[in-house]
Amino acid sequence: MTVEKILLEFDAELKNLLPVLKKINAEFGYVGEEEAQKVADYFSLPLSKVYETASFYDLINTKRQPPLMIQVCSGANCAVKSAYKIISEIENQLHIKAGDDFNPNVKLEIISCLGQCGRGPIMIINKKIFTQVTPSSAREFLHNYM
Amino acid sequence: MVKETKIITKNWSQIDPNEIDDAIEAGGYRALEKFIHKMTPALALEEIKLSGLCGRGGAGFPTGIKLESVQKEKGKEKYFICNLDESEPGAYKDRSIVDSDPHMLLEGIIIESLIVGARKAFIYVNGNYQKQIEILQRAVEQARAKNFIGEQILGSKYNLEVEIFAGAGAYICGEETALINSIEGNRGEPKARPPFPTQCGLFGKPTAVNNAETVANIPWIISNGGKKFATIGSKKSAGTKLFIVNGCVKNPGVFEAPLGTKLADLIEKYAGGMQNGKNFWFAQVGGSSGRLVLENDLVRKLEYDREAKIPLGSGAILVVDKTADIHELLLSWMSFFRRESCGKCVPCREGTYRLWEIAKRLQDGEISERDVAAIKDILWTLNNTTFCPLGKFAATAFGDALSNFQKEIYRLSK
Amino acid sequence: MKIKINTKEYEAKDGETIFVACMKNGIKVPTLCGTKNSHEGVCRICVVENNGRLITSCNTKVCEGMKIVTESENVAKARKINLELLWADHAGKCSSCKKNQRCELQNLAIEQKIENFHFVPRKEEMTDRENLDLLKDNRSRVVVDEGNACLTRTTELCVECRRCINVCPTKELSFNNRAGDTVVGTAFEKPLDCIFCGQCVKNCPTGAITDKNDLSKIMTDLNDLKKMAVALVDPAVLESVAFEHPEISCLPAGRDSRGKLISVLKELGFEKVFDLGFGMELSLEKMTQVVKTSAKNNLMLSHCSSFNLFIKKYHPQFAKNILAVAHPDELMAEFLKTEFAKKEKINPEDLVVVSLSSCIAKKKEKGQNLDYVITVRELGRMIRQKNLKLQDIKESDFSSGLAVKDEKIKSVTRTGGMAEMLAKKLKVKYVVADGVPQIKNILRDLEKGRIETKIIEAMVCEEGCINGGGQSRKI
Repeated sequence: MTVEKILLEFDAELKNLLPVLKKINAEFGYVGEEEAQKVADYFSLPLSKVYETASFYDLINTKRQPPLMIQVCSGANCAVKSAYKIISEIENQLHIKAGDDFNPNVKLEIISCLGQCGRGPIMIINKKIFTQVTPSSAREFLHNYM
Repeated sequence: MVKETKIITKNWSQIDPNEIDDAIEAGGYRALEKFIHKMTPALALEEIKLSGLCGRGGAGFPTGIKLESVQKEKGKEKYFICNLDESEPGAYKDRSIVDSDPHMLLEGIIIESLIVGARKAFIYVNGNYQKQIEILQRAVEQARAKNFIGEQILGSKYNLEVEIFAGAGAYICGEETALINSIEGNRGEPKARPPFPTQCGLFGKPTAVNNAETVANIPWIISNGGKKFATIGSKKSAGTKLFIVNGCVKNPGVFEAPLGTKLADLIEKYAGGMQNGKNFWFAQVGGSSGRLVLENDLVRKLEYDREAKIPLGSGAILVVDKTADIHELLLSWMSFFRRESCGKCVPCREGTYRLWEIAKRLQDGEISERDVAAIKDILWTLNNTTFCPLGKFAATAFGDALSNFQKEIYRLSK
Repeated sequence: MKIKINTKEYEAKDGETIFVACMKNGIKVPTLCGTKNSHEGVCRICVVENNGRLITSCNTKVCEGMKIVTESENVAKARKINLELLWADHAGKCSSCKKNQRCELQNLAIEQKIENFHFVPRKEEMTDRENLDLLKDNRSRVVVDEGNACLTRTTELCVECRRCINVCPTKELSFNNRAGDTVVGTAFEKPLDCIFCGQCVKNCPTGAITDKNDLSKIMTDLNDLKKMAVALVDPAVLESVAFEHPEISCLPAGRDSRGKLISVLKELGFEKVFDLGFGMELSLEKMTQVVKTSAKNNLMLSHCSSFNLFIKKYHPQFAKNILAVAHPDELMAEFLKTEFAKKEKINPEDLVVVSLSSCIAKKKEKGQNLDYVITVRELGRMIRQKNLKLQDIKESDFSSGLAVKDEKIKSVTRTGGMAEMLAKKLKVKYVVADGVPQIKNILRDLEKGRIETKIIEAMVCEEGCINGGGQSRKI
């Protein structure tokens, strides 16, 4: 699916800007400059405005994402169930720091809450959700992706 | 077991959320029929005002008054928005409503929209709720097929379109002006008030924004009357509330209980008490910006009351036992706000960032004199000078923890 | 309606903000984020007390019965903490900053008596172990953009006040990311490539957006004994030099009030100081010839450099409509390096022509003969760097040789001035566009064929060079 085709599904109304950006993100993994420029032209907005909106939201990336994305919930419910131990375990294992985007191959992100608190701590690897994770099981799950 | 009062959860696990006929059989859309055939918007509004229903999103603003101010605005174009953004850590009550009885929600949306005179309603759903978005889409289609939505609803002169708008991941979009900004394709930053959304909201038109749980109460009120609703709950706040109890309790989950229920009862009677071998330390009421409740305050009633010592917020309750690491909790709260502040105003953007840094240093035991002084100043400026409520309450829990657990936090020996 | 501010009652108009009501009555309320046309309420410095509650004065409208207190213990505390939070996020040393002494953040910090900072700086020149350790988790995104001829951006010094975003006529800047990562920048952090009207530079309260620095090169040339430095004074700058240095006030603008400025320039090392009015007359002459001999209609005057850039970047289809006449500064520099140099028997190579201008786009559209363009702000910096004693400065007159024939020529600094003169001389019709919104309208009309005229004059800065991006601003 090309950006043009996605755009054709929507009217050029401002309320469609966020849905369009989300759809492009779903299709390409991120909204790059080229895509954003096409969106800006379609909605007759300055490019800066499209970028401003896109960069605000968690579910829209403005950069290409690394092939391995690890997300760990640090909401209070998961935090009281040692989410932070899982985070430091992964940090040590992969030699990265949560939140950094320096490594082109892997990124560790701390996220807020998916509303699955009953089954926490929650970890997501490339969109697959793992529940009731412990530091050692986190290591195992990761192993399958390496 | 407790005597149950069920308004929102009455059909839960009785019906298939994907089947409108199930819902209709269980009494769904009767309130809509009653409204259309037997009531006027003014009359229905009167019932809602009588009921004493107030917003379940956290602020507790009287729903009737909000609807009234939109209803009396002139102009044909008005909007109704159901706020289902729910991104408070530990809160999943609105999601549970969609999972269990989406049609009750939809019915409430339709009735409220028609009351205020909106021809278009939006359901703003948390972007992470993929499954719930699908359920709602199906529900809207089914309701349209039955002519509950669309042109000349049930043969009346009313028209209404309902659109589902998926958010894109930003906690602040639960704040109504930020939510409106988000639909308008802007950054989800709160707008200055006045003008209030009820006068100048979505695309500059009068807009009523209601939390999903608030909306789900409407069919019951229309069917049974505002007076009857007002008898449920406590003197100060009427009706029931969905409480989400998490943490070290035997049966964590969502419970419907009358407002005014004591916190101790919620933990003991609804959530089955503490897990074996765990000792109660404190509970956090109202999500990440909620206050901490110690053992001696467990007898307090949970209700919407401006003077209440424990603001109810969204109704999320986290029960913490004595083995929990307070430093990790501090870090969890602050790392949440450090990510979720919109970045617009100085105290919130810089203050939450600083507290997050300090929380990390607290965890590492590297706290300095300078930090101790800074914490006080940041808490003060957040509470007094931020642009919107997110900032105001961002460090409530942090402040409460500091005043109650100084010994543990600063690792003092005495 | 009546509202009470501090001890007295004042009359306030319905719909105006507390901030405006205070300003009108001479009560000062500090702010870092407000501009003339926009008040976003983001800096939270302009807080005042109303009936005991803190509110921001810039975006709260007055209402009957308000009791405003502009200075109280809580107000001072709020201003102080919020300032400190900003200060801690603001890197670098004031002494080496281009905006030193002209920085609103610095001034406020002095005013609010901020001495000890108890927040750990986010980024700062720090060497000792303790502070470096504290910084280890700090991943602030610093963008330094020097990829153009006109201005420099450093997010390190930015206080996220959004003034630049609000004043930018082409919306090239935006507020990106969220929470602690928020930065003011361009889309996808590309180097800025805009029309360089300079309004962002003018309005920036700190050193985050500043004039591109040519000063060290100019200083070298000024000190070079072999070279002869000539300064051209744009009449528009007379309006704003006083904001930089009240001692060299040129107000009211006019022939007799610029004497001190000329002396200052001579003191800085310029051997000759000329009036740019001469170049404007050259420009009018050239334009007259071109317009007279052209059979085409809708000719666009070319003396606003920002407008030329605007057409090139956003509407290249109209590039052919622009007159091929250089701006007055370049024409005058050309004259100096040819006829004047010949007459005075100077090697043109040794002549350094510097224009003191109200425009920063000229830095990009400099031309072959003009060596440097400096703004009023940069002149201020030169004076501060050289530590000139301005109290004792005497007045002097422009150097002789290139006199202005008619002072009326100076009306070309305001929007429409040049077109009016041309139209009068040539008896032709003209259309004027003041500011980018009007320019856009006119271009739309042109595209649709709704306009047919001989000449079109457009200026990017509203009202013309008086509000130019190179001007200084009262702070």
